[in-house]
Amino acid sequence: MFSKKIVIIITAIALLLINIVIISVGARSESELGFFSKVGVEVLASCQRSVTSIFQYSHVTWSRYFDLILVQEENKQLRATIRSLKNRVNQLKESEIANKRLRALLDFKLVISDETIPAEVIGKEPSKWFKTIIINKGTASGVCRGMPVVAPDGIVGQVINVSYHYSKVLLIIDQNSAVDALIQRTRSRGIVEGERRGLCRFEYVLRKADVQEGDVVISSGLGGVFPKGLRIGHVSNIVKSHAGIFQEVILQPHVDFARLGEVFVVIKKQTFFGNEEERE
Amino acid sequence: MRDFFLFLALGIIIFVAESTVLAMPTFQGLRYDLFIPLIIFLGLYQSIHVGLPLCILFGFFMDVFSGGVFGLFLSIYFWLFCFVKAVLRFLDLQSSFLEATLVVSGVLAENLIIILLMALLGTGQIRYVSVQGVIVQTLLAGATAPLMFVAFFKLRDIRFPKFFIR
Repeated sequence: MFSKKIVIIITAIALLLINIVIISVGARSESELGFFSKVGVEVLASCQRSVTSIFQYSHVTWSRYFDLILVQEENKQLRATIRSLKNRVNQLKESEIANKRLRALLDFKLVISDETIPAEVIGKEPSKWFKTIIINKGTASGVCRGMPVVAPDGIVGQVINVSYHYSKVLLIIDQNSAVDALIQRTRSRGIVEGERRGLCRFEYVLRKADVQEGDVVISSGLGGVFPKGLRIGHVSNIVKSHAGIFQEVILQPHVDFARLGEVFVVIKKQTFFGNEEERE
Repeated sequence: MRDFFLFLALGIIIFVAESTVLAMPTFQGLRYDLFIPLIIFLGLYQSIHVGLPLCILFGFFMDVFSGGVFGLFLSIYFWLFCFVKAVLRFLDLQSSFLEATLVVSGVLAENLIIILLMALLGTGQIRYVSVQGVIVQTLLAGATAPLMFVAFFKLRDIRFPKFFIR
């Protein structure tokens, strides 16, 4: 009835449509990794880990050799920094004591937990289109899907897939990422989303809100994922258009994602009151 | 079977390189998906029995580690492989220039499929498209494809010691 050529073409079109439907359904569902995916992650991540270790070792050796000359000068500077930081720590201890006393007075329930899992970045996103990293901790270490990932400089991202010993983390600079945030100085709220070239976009900030370049943006804790008060980045560019109710704010993340080596997975939900404004 | 494991090992090396060494800031903006020339090579010079499972495996590797929708790279590699096989029926493509043309088309197609599919799905995953990035990737693919094909041929024709074959 039909020629072989027509049958092949119809089959190909049918397959293509089925393919698109499957991907569409997959895009909308939030399923866990399957058994084969987990096995794949375990095997390939082991290779990634070995290669990353070799490169890190080479890099460290190289850096140590060439940085030796600069060490003395850096040492002096660091000693000066330590002195000033010691003073700062003392001031902060005083503030903390005052803060605790005042909060007790106000009957605030402050939950502070340091339960974090340190993890190493062993691989990065293989494609150019998305921004994820692979860390060397998984369900075996207590990591679960949805847990926030932080670094000393600020928020890194969120765990999106977990294997036994490895996890995939969606970075805040990925276009799929969204973090409920506020400007530390003025408390203006918005949503931080990923942008191009490793930057973030602070969306839904009202046009009348007071935003200035250099303003620090912190997590608001309202998204239910990231603890309150964690640094995200600082405002690097503002565009106030004549129309519309929002302004365009671009953020420079505090975390250097290109050189990110170690991160912390936050196990328990916690409240950080580390920012200056709240301490005062 | 020998070719299957040989190119599987090469695929794993490419994957690990793409997600570690080539992901370093030094290579930022100067890399393209190295699986594309491999898929084209498999389509041109390997049978369906060897090439198709490898394409599906490579797509699976990428999907498992990528932040995109699961099945995206698997579909791209599958259809690219089918396209090359279909083209082979009509054209004689066994020349360096045409191999490079196919790789360039493959890289362009991959980028376009990702952009179109994401737009079609409406998941908002691709909001910013770097045209410059796509152009650089395409040019780089065209320039390096012949070298990669030479390497693939060398690998295919490699002779293992007899004790290893046993």
